[in-house]
Amino acid sequence: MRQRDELSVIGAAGYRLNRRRLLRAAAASGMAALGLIPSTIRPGRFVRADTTINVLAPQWPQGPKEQALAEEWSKQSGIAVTFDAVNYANLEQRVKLLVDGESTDYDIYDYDSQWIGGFVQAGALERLDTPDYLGASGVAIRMGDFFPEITSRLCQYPAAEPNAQSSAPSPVYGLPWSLNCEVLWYRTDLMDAPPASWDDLRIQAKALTTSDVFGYATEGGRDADWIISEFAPIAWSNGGQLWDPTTYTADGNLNSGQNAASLKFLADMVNGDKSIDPASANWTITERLGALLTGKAAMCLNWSPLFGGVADDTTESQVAGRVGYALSPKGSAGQAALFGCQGTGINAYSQHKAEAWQYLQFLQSKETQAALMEDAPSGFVSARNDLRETATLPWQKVFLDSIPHLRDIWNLPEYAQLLQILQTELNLAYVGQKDPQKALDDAAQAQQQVLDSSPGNPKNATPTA
Amino acid sequence: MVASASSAEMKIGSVRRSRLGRQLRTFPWLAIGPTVLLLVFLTVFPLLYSLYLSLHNYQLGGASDLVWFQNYDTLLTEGLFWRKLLFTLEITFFAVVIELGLGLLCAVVLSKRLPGMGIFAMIVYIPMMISPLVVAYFWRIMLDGSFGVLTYFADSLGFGKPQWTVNLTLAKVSLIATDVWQWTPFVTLLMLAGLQSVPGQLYEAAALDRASAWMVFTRITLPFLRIPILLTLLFRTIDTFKFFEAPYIITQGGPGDLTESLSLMAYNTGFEQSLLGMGAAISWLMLIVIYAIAWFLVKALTHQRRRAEEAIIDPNAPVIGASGSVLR
Amino acid sequence: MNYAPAGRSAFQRFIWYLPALVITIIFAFPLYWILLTSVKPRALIQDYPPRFRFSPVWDNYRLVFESPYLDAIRNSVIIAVGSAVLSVALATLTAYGLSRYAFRSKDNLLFWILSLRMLPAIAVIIPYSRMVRWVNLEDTHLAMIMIYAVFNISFSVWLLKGFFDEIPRELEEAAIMDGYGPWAVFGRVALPLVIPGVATALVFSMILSLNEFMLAFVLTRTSAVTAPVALTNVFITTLGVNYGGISAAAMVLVAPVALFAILVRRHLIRGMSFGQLG
Repeated sequence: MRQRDELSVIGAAGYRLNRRRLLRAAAASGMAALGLIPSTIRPGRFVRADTTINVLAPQWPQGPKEQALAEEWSKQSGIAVTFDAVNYANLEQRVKLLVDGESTDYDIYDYDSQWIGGFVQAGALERLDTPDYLGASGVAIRMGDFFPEITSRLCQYPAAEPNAQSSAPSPVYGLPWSLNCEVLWYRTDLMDAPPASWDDLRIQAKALTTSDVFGYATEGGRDADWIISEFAPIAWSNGGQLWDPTTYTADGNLNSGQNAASLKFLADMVNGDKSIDPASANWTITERLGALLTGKAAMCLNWSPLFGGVADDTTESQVAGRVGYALSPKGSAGQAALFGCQGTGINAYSQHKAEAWQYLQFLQSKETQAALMEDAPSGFVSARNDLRETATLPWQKVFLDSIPHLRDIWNLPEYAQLLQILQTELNLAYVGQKDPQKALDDAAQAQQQVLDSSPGNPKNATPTA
Repeated sequence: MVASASSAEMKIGSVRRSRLGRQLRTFPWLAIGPTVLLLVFLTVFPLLYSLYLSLHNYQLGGASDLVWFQNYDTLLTEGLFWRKLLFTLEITFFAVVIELGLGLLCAVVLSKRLPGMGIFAMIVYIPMMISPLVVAYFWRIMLDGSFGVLTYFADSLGFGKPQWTVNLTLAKVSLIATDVWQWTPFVTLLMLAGLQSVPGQLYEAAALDRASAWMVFTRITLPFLRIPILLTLLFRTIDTFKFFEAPYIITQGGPGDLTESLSLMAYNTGFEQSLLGMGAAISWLMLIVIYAIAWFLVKALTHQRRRAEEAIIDPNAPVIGASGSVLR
Repeated sequence: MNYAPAGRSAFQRFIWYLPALVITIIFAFPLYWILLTSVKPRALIQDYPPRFRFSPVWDNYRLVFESPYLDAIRNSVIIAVGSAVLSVALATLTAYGLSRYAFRSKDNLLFWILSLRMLPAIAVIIPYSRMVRWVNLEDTHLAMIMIYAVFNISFSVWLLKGFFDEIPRELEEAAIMDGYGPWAVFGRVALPLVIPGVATALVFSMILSLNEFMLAFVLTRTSAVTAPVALTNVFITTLGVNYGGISAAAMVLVAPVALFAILVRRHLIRGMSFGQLG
């Protein structure tokens, strides 16, 4: 017919292509549909038999070993354990979102020490010092099994500072999972002995700086907790504080003259001595460690035993066999090692709390903890008192020696606000754009606003009836 | 050419026409309706909900009290928001302008149809296919002031080791460069389309008139590029205004918070600090600003489009050659 | 096709190779650097001067193919294709309707569709995560497909409307005179002429859906986790960022998109031509 001819003239190639395109589109949608079916109707991992629990953990080196041990345990206990390891930077938010949705997807949450306030406030963690868990008769583990210096900070909330004895025992929300703190990593071939104090470190760093090598490497970046990990040990070891926890005061504590001097110390090393790479103002833990392992820096702080023996791993390090570990340097008021421990707790919304508790007891048992400690790649040291003397690896020993000097940053629910305020100001002072005292003053002021409106502030406490 | 219908076809035709009439009336509803329904369902409620959140001091896992416009008040009076808005606009402006120029250049090169251009095209198109997150990560290592390969080049040329990500000015340049590198392909595609819609006979006539290359470009090519240019401005501005991955990963918003874009500020406040109410307020202020900017751009675009439509559809509109002679 | 006539001197033609070369170097160098990094031993990544020569290792690619990342790529591809097809199908119809039929507040509707692209992800994270939970579509492909469709439709409608606008109405009027209903006119007359636009819209939609991070992070967990999110889980560990791994992952992820683009290359490069006017 004439009409069809006209149309085919107009859309000749177009018409053929039309069919081909339709076919392709159909194939694509078919594929998409096939992909949809499994995920929308498949039972999935979270609708499961009664004997599976899920653990949400950060990507920590002890993961593989822990999974292997859990598999063994599953055969005896009949409880299967699956692990989801996520990027540490996202873990806190992931848990908060899950808790916001009252999710039952996971049974065990691993957490970092400073998140505990927020988690408890959100109701994420099951309270463990009850007759169901730690108080049960015949329970395999007790709080007394673990280092008291650590558990008071890591497992309880409200928490005392590490090493402080809390007068009234606080509720327990978790158990120790991974212990670590910042210690000094140094090149044994470039110096006879590691610097004992910060002043020594400064002198040594300056002496060791050449055109290719910097004396000291830092993570001066402004995100997360990078630069505070450099500043806090110096500040604390010189007697400074970040805040006064009993009165919720930052102003007067954070911006003390002592702290300003400590910050100036750090900034002068970068801008004055030039013994620290100026690029470190944007560095994270990756670059700091990388600088040491490529031989471009002679010393740096780093987390032990978390990083295990990476310095001696030739696939990661160019200075294998030439790295030693020492305590975080002394200041005028003693030593301070930045607390970095992670805990593990039960999801308050979990539907398998009993099984999760069984797993935790297994995890904390002497055999399991010993196995983890012996596994060098796990970067692990146990919190059990009875395993304290069994540490053989140098990066484990240096952690144990650091325990009396552990100090931690804030762990209240608002810690992230306080942290970001301080990070920004520290970074500005670090790059020389702001006077250290002014930076700390501004930070303290902003922090004080946050603290004043915090529900935990004693001033805001509603009088109990 | 419409053939005259026989009487049989006419009858069929008139039956068809009444059904046709109904179809003609329902068609636009069926064509546009489902889309609009889907979009309304997926956007109106979330937006209203986020507006609702922004009126509270909602914290993820914490308190949530109605504070009305306190979040907005804090943002607008404390100066922090304005500083970051200015920064975001600054980066957006330079990035979009440079992308425009570079994209046009690439399109012109591609349009010359020189041999070997296939490879050029492939390479130019790849950057926009990579995840912005990944792009940010490897620009971060290329730009590091200590070990970055770009730092190495600068050092070898005698400029010392520029602190691409720590020095404020260089950091801004770095962020602009990252955006330009990733999105120029997009602009190139748009410009190429514009270049190819220029009718060939105009060029022939200009050659006859011995018009210079510059005149050819400005009088003949450029008018047909008005639409792609404005589309580029529109979509690139909207997208770059939201830039997040680059400052988050390359500069961490530093030094201090001087390269923190509005999106990054919303993320840090709403997510890292869990202050979702405040984060929502920041996003709403962002929306208002970009809405206003887009509104102006669209006004310009519709104006240009109507001009273009008139020029194309009206077969009687004369086209004047460079020398003043009428080409058609 | 319509290009500047080749009647110019050879010099004036081949001079264009110079900017082409410079631009190619600028765009290709980072790609070369990612490729290099993806086979570089981890100990050498932060070395200075940067290492251009070394013996390549394949650990990173092995990690990409042995880790959950591969599943995430599958998810990403499913979501990207699904979202692209859904949004372009809807957008084509809508763009045609908006192009051909005038009605009140058409410009407002168009602007509203555009404004959807302006949404910063952080604004809608919590609302979307709650909505998705209410309809029990948490961590599913379907949820991501529909949410990405919002952003994709926005761009596709504008793009395709531009194409449809350029089609002379005489063609359609002729078809209507011959008794074709609006659907047939759309399907047989208009649609074949905008194939380049459809191909372009598909490619852009796929790219956006494949590479989006924020919403995928919040709304997916394990079943539907997409590549960018899995990237941060697999390649960022205690040791920090595994740049070699990320580079390898990027190379692997770009491959399907590049392949698709090559397949539709004729349509793409021939042009997002705003209609045939010759």
